[in-house]
Amino acid sequence: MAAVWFILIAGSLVLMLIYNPNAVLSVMTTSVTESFELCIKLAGVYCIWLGFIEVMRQIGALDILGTLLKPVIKCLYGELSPKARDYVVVNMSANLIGVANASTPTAIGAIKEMGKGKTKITRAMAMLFLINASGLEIMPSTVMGMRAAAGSTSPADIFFPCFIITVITTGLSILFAFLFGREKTEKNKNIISDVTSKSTAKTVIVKSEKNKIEDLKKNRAVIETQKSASTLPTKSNLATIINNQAGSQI
Amino acid sequence: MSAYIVPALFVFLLAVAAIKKKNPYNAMLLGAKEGAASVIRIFPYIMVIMLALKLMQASGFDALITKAVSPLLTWTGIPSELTYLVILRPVSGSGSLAMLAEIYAKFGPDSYISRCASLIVDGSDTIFYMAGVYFAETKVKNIGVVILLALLVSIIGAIVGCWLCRFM
Repeated sequence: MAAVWFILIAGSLVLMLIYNPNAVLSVMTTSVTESFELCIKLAGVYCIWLGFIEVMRQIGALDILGTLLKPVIKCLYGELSPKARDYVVVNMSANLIGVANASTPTAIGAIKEMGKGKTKITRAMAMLFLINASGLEIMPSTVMGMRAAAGSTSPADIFFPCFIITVITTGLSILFAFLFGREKTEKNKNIISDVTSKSTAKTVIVKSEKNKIEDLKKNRAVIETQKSASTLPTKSNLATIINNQAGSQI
Repeated sequence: MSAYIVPALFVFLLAVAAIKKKNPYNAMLLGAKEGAASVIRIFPYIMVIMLALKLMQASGFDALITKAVSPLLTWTGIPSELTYLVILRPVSGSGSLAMLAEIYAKFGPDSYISRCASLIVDGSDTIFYMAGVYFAETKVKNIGVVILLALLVSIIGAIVGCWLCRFM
């Protein structure tokens, strides 16, 4: 990616240096402004869709969709964290019903969740990227709309070839994604860390119980010495008793 | 039909949220927070690609690339008029749609070339932009492999699409 980018930038700059040196800076600054404008447009789409996805999560719609798509997700993506699964579910549904706007923010979220603590691409990430990059769309609504606008006699007759192409490109994408290895070691690591964290949690609990018992013993000793000294506790004795009890509660 | 899907979905979600006594207000707030943060984080990735695209178009480097690649693509069956579209497709979504409209106007939407162009645009996506944006929030380094695979898939899609258009 970096190499391609370097060749494009360097080649263009050399050409412009020869033919049109005055325009270089203005082209570069305009491109930044334009990308900022694009980001502002994207912000509209992202905020609205992520908001409604959150609504879907809260009312439990994602769990229902997740159970429906479970076999497909398990086959394509393997094991996913619940958050990553939620994003993948919405991404798949968005692609299926043809809401391309919703697929990008969900894909970003899903890959962020899948990539936590990883520096190399995993099968799940490759799968999500390749499927989305192949332009998966059941209904080619944009192209059909443009054909209609251009005065086509039957804008919808592109549907069948588009469908065949979608099947081919999506199939190839899935096939290529399976070239990436499944991460078995990662899973084992998780189990081990799970076990160790559980055992440390147990020792912590045991320790705190021991401390409590010792505190109680101390309190009892204090109270008993006070009892033997006088049947009614004096003001200062009372304060120490309260202090001790407060300490044991903490 | 597809115009009704999104508003109907939104109304349905709000209705279910009201019945289940959930709070869509908070959900929208959370979504907006995440969306705004996400856009700021992906801005640099969009910027570098836009920079390359604009410089390429302003310098005429894109015409040179088109000239160089054209014989190869024509050999695979993609009409030479569409070489530039094939190159533009993975870099710019709006750019390739504008070019598709131009092709429709020039050759007529039902011509062989226009139908090939429709399939090229539909069977692929803005791969470079997506690769930058998707992996913006991870520490993954080796994304070059998936970009190559995605480009390979879209080229195969374009070749098969142009072949299909000959008799469909």
